[in-house]
Amino acid sequence: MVADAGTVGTAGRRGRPTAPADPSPLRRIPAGAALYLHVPFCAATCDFCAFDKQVPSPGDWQVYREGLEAEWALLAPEGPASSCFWGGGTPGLLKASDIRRIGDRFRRNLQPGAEWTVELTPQCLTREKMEAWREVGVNRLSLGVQSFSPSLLRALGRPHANDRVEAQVDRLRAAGWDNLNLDLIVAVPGQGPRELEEDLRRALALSPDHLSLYNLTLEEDTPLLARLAREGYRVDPENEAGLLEHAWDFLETAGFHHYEVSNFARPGHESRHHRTIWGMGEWRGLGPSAASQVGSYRFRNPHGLEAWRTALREDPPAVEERVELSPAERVLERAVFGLRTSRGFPVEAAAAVPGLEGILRRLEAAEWLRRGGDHWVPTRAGLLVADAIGREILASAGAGAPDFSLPAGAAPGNLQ
Amino acid sequence: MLDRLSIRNFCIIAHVDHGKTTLSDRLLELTRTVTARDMKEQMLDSMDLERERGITIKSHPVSMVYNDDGREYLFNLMDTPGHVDFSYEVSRSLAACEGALLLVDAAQGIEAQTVANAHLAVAQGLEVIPVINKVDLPSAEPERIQDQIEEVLAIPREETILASAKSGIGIDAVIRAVIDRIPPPAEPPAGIGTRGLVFDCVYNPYKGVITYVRIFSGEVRRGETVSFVGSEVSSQVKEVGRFSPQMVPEDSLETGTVGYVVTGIRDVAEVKLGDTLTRRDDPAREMLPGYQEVRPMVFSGLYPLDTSDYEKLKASLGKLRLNDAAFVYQSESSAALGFGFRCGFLGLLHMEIVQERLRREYGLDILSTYPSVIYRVKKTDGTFLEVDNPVFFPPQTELEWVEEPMIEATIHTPNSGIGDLLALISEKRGLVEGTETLDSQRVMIRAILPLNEILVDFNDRLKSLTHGYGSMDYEPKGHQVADLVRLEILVNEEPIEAFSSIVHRSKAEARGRALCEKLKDLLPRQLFRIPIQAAVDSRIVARETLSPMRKDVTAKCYGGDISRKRKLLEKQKEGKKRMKQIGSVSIPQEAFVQVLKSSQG
Repeated sequence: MVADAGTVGTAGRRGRPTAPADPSPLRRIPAGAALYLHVPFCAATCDFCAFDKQVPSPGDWQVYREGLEAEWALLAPEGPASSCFWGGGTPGLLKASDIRRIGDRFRRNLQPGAEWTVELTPQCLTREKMEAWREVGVNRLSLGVQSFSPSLLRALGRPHANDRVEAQVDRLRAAGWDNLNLDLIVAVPGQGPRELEEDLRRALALSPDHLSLYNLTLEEDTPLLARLAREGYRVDPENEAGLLEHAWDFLETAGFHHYEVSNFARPGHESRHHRTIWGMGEWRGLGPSAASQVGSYRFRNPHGLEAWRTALREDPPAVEERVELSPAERVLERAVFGLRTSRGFPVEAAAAVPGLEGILRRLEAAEWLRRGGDHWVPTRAGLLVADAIGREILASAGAGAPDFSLPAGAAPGNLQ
Repeated sequence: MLDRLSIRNFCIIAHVDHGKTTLSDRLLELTRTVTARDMKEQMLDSMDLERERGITIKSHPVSMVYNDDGREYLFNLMDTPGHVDFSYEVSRSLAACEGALLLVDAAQGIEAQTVANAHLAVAQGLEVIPVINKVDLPSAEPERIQDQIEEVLAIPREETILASAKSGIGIDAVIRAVIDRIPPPAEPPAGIGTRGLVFDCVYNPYKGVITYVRIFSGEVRRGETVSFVGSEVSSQVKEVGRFSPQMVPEDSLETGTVGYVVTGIRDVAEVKLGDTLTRRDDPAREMLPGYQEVRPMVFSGLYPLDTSDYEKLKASLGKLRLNDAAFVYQSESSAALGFGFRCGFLGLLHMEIVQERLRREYGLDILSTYPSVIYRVKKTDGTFLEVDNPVFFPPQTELEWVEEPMIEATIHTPNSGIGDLLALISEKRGLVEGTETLDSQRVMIRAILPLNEILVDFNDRLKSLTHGYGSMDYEPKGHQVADLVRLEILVNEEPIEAFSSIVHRSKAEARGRALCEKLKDLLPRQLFRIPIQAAVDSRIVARETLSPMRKDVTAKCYGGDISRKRKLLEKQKEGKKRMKQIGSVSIPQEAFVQVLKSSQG
């Protein structure tokens, strides 16, 4: 799995090698990268969530703390990172002392004043934690509200009521936190335009600078999907599209910039961290199952606290799903993921992959894309079919990567 | 050995479910041909499919010895197929008999096919003995049925036997009638040579082809050299014997009897039904009458759903062909469906049975294209063509005329259904030749119809219009010139062969519209607006538009989701490759299956 045996040499397994001439991508943190920390614990688990998380048992926190120390010890930062994001799980569960200890490492590897977000549920706010975040340099909080409606929360199987969100936000405001994001879920079974508007109105009343509006995704192997399948629930894309557009209109009218399929910001408050990722920049994730993209490599830490901890006993650390992307693949991915955002995809970049420009023009003719200056950008209708656009791009473009090329002269209908 | 005068060769003519098999079983029991212990229900029908559908597909004779107060009789019971598709097989089975039991359900009355077969029997000079079965049912109306038989077949009511094969009522009377009313085999004219009628054959992996014969003159012994007059094939006799009901070898088959002959022939195609078997040292001076080559009338393309099953399908068709000389096939390919076979069948039931056997006995998932008949085409350059596949139908500009095969249908229906039925016949471009009253409740309609109009849903609609009481029989009735066109279906401007068909001009638009609507429902929405069109000679006669998809987007896409997302898109892309690519449109195989299914139902 890990091919970079060269760096394991005499430097020793535990110790940090002094000056590797050609550092393994598994150890690199490029200057200007986005940093990510995965906190794999939740106070309770929600029915719709398929992330790597668990309700912590005694001792898990200690394993986690030690693991992060070990992971940092294996990494070789090449310069300060440009943003930081703590997600999960529920990073809000971290105690003030952990925030300080773990946060210190990140602060030392981050540009001064860089965007630093922590995800939390409205339930886990304490004055102590707020102070700790402020101290280490966290400057943006993301609250997983999902919905204000008790019945919709029940439909999601989310174990906590949100009747105190307003009070919590007031406390944050009073403590000087002005850069807030709220997560909301759209198209929960039972949610019509009226319920949706109610959620949006209550969210906007809290004056957030950023909103993430997620179409409920029924993930495989989640209790929610199992329950809905039993109840004979069927996803209706037509209805979902209607709800999404309704919400988009609502937020745009309220002055928000719709800058990615699911993300809205007051102008100037777009997330730098997310934009790095959508623009196929570099990012390094720490913690169990955290994903990274470094240079032309993409990989992921092992799932589960123990597997992750064990993997860190190797140098460079053992990772999963490691792939090296060809230049053509990276261009195609910039197109696929860029076209989910208002920034889009640079027109000149298409030239690097044969056939790509033709596809983009066809998509333009069908009004899924338009030319905005020197970029291709998705239309609103195009945002609603971003996956299909991505497939079209991956399926039809690129003689550059053998992976993407169709067999020449392949007879229709799999005749061979 | 029993002499000629103690032999009775007869068959049972009956409609599905009227009790033919039960009556046969009673006879087997009474003659102790099969002990009660071995008695399996419905002894004669051996294939599962036959048993399930209550029909017999392959004739299978049985010999029984009946002791009538000290005098022994040899009964050879021929089991005839009941369905119109096999009418030539029926006629060959009848030709091997001197008599027929006409079995009619006491509640349901006489059906179209039964009448057709009874007429066939009378025409061949058989003694027809009507037996009204199930007389002990509460709904039985034996007197009304006697009226029908008198009316339609002109057989006096006194000659009718009332019976219940299930309860054993009237079985003695049936046996009495077989002995007293059915004549023994006629004495053959001297010097005519050895002649045996081939009325069926089956393939056996150990013995090769087993030929079923009725000996009309002379005898056939093991070790002799025999030949088939029609196909001019000769071979040595390896075994002869009787069915009782299993094959029991004997030294010889003598004049008047029925049995089997095993020769060195290994391909059923070399043995033609209706052919005459003769001996080299006692050759027939002329063939037995009535021989004709069987030609398929209905054609359809069969394709494996999973393209990798092609070889398996090929092998399975080969095996089916071993036992079914009437079934023909040759390979063909289609851009949409891949490699498959063009198959010819005797008729609709035959087609259904072959498809069903492929599914069940050979475990194949198959797709069949819209059925077609053989059209005779004269082109403007003076050449003639026979077309059984819409793909080869010439463009209108090259057509001088097209002839389509016609049938004469005999339809029995309750009086109440007649109005709807006449409308159906007219919708199917049929012409009613006449109606006859069968009794106070039932009418018989004779009509000329194009064969291609009854291919798909005629029988189903007949059944539904008459609440299941109507029945139909048909026979070929030559050809007629008709204004036929090829209807093409285009998806995103590309014609899709699998959906094209030959239809009457007056129907092209309606059928085109129906297919376009169906496809619009079945095709998954794509990124682009897709026209779905029906065209006759590149003129669009119907059109639908598949709107572009509205929503296909994943909500969350962050660091950890990127590779997941990418993998998902790749997987979906692979899925797209497996679909049939028509131009830029991906059509799932399922859509083909659904369209072809719906246009047959």
